[in-house]
Amino acid sequence: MNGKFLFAFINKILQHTSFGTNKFHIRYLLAHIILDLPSSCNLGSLSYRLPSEVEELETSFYFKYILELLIQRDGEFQELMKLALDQGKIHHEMQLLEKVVEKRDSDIQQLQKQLKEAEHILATAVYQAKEKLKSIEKARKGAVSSEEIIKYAHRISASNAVCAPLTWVPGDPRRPYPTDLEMRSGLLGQMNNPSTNGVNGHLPGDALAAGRLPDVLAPQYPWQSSDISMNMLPPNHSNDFMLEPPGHNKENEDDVEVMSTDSSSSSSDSD
Amino acid sequence: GCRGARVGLPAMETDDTGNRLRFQLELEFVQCLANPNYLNFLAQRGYFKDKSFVNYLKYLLYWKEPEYAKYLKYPQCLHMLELLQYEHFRKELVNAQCAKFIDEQQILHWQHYSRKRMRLQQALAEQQQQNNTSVK
Repeated sequence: MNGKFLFAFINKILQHTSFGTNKFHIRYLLAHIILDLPSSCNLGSLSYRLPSEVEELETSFYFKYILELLIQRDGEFQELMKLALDQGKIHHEMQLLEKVVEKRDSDIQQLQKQLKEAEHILATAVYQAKEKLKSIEKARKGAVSSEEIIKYAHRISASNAVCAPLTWVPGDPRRPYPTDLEMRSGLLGQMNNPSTNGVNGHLPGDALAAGRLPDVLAPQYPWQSSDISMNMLPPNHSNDFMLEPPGHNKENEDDVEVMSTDSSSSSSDSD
Repeated sequence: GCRGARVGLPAMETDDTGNRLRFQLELEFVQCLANPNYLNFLAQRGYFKDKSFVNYLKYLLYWKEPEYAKYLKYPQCLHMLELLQYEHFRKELVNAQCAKFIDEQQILHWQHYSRKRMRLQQALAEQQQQNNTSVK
């Protein structure tokens, strides 16, 4: 066998050996195999030595060579170990940093949650404050003096207009609305003018005041509000209610016409 | 008679006296609307079908404003006025039973507060009696 070939062969095997625990074992085996090589191995220039000497030389040469390889490999392995150690350290540091990052992330999320909550609470508070302001404004706009309220309360209660008299029994002619008698003795009822048809505010009075009724000099019924401030005026309006007010929705479009001219002259029995 | 005739005061609509009169008339009229029998009367004579009358009812809504409403003796009329804005209500008022029903309900409601007050007075009287007996 060629010594060169053997050398290359061993090298190749060692190169392909993976970094594992068996590396040394393999090398040991290889060394062992090589040491057992038969002396018939031709070493070229060493052929002039004595056979036994050659054999010794051969084995020591190979042994030395393998040892050197071993040492070389060991050195490489040591370096790799160092590298691995470094990498491990770095990896460990990375893990620590990752933990720190996680913690920071959760801190940020926590803060975000709290911020959202705070925003929500503030928004609610602001909203309620705005509502409060609105209602304050509304109340201020609709402010009524207590004197007015008392006056008004007196007006509607004193005459039993909104609350029945305590002695009321069925058969009592008093009612929560103006009765016939009251209506006739009012201003409307006093209108004796026969041409009171048309719809400008006086009309149903015509039915009552068609001049057929006695001139009732009724006592001043309290509902006529004798204390009306004479400065009070109704809102201005166009005198003709036939005109459509803007935006008025048409309801009885079919029934518009002639009825009212007839109705006042037709019999007007009050009930 | 002509349609647009005023109540014998043709010239006065534009001046203050006429307007004051109109105020009183409208005040009376709007309160008449609280009387369901009167509403029935109006319905049966077809006033509710007259478009200008319906417009007039809408115009009368100004009585809801506080500066006008404070003159009302019968504020219930405002509720009736509001209901009268609806065609369905106006149509229903032709029926006498409808008017009767409204009348009954109004009277019952009218009595509600006096009944409540009577109960309150009774309770107060009883309490005073108890206090008197306990003091003694």
